[in-house]
Amino acid sequence: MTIELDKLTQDEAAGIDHHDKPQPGTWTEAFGLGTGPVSLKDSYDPAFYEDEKIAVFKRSWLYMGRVDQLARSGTYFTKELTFLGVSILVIRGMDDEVRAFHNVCSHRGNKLMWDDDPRAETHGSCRQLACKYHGWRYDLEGQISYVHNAPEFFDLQEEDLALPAISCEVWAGFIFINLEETPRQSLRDFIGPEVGKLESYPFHEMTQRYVMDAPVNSNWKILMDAFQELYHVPYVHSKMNNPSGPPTGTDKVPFMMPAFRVFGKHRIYTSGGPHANEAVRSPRPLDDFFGSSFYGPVDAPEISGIGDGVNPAKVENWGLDSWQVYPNLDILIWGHRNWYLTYEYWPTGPNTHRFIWNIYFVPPKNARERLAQEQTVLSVREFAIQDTGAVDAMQEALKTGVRDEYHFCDQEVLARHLHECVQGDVDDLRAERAGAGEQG
Amino acid sequence: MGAGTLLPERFSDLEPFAQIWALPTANERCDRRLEATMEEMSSFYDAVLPRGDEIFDYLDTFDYPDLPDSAIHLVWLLCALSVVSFSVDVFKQPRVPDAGEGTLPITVEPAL
Repeated sequence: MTIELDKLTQDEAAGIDHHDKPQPGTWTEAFGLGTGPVSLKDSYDPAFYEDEKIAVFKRSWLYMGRVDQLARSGTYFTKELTFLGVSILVIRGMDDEVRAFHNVCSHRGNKLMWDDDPRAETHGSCRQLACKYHGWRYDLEGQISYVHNAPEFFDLQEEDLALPAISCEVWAGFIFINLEETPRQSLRDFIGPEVGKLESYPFHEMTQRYVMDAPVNSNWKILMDAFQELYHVPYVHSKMNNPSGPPTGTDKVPFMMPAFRVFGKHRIYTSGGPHANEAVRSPRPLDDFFGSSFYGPVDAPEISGIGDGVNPAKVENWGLDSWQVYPNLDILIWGHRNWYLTYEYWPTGPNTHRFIWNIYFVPPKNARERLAQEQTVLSVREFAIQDTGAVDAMQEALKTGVRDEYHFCDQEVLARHLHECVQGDVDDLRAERAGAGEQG
Repeated sequence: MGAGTLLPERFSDLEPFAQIWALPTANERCDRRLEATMEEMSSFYDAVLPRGDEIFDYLDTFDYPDLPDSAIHLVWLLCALSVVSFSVDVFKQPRVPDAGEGTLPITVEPAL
């Protein structure tokens, strides 16, 4: 049997959506990316992983959480970036400013804010930051405010005892830190003007929050890749999308993305959401029951507007924006349904990561709305469990290292772009080291 | 309403299901699904689904979020219905197929 590798099968052609592509005819080439095979050694090689920590995560702005989590002065949360060997304390000061510090007491290095489990993240509200070990205290701006039995010390200088500050900036209510001594770019410059326009979206009106948090057996990029292409959807999610459709294993109708965009190291796809591949999907009985589905509650809440940042490609029948903010933050905004999600992928090793998922809705006005939101959360959760299962298998095979070159189609252009950006950053670091070695 | 009764009087026929499924957190409901048989979930699903309109109309009579306990138990019961529906409608088994032991715990959810 011969297959024609450049043609759709009859089944595929029967239902496929068509969308225009930019000159010269493919997204990949329009973004100036190569079309050749891609090395995925960046997703299992321990040496690459060590360099990636420095080249990517110690030089980029990193997302910590929302300002909504810090409602008033003295509210704080911690974030454990164990893979970088740091614990971060994010707190709102008396002056309303959001600041970040290393979560380390200046006395003898105890972890400052923690509860019960020294390794677990915590959050809360306080008037002062107090160390559990010897009772040293700091004000909400990180300055020393009390030393227990101070006369017993030798030459303590107040100015030396402040908590070590970390560069911290807020954009669109999203709090970021940067671990460089002096960040090479401001957060604004890093985000750039196109992604930056998202700040006109009313994220602050969506404060009803669900969080999922789980270890995943894949490199962080491998799961991120799964959420920046829809090429896998007809196979991994076929039964969820079309419970009455044919079983997996037959030719499926491919998903075609209406629009991709690349903005520096950031990127976005915009899809029709509920309108994508409508012809080959069927609702589940419970979607009608709850008036809600994977796409969100059908009766969308009122919001003050959507601003001028979403749907940058002006896709008709706009359903979903999935923004990938470099390196490891996704912001997904559902058109006309008025809710959003963030995904974070935090490395825990070359072959593992921690996946944190926040879902935000406008607070419900009645039990009906509350249940519609619950149905959406649970639907999304089932899809995501399918994805985490898929990438677990992928990582198992990938890390055998049996092959170094893999193939990304035009629908997987954003995944290609992520790997190119990460590999570029690591190449830059290695070139700097080589240069320094030559000079030395 | 007798001692240990979870649901309002008018939904007393659903009480046996509430005793199993009206659990307060999403994680407890999701974990319960993994321990359940398909027969158990199908009978729950078939009993509650036809009562949907009646349950929603009843819940509409309360100001949110100040629901009496018995109404909150009804909300939990419907949350559990959503959880089991993926097994009943889609997977035909408690676990998500091809996902190993994979699960996604819900670590923060709004209070009710």
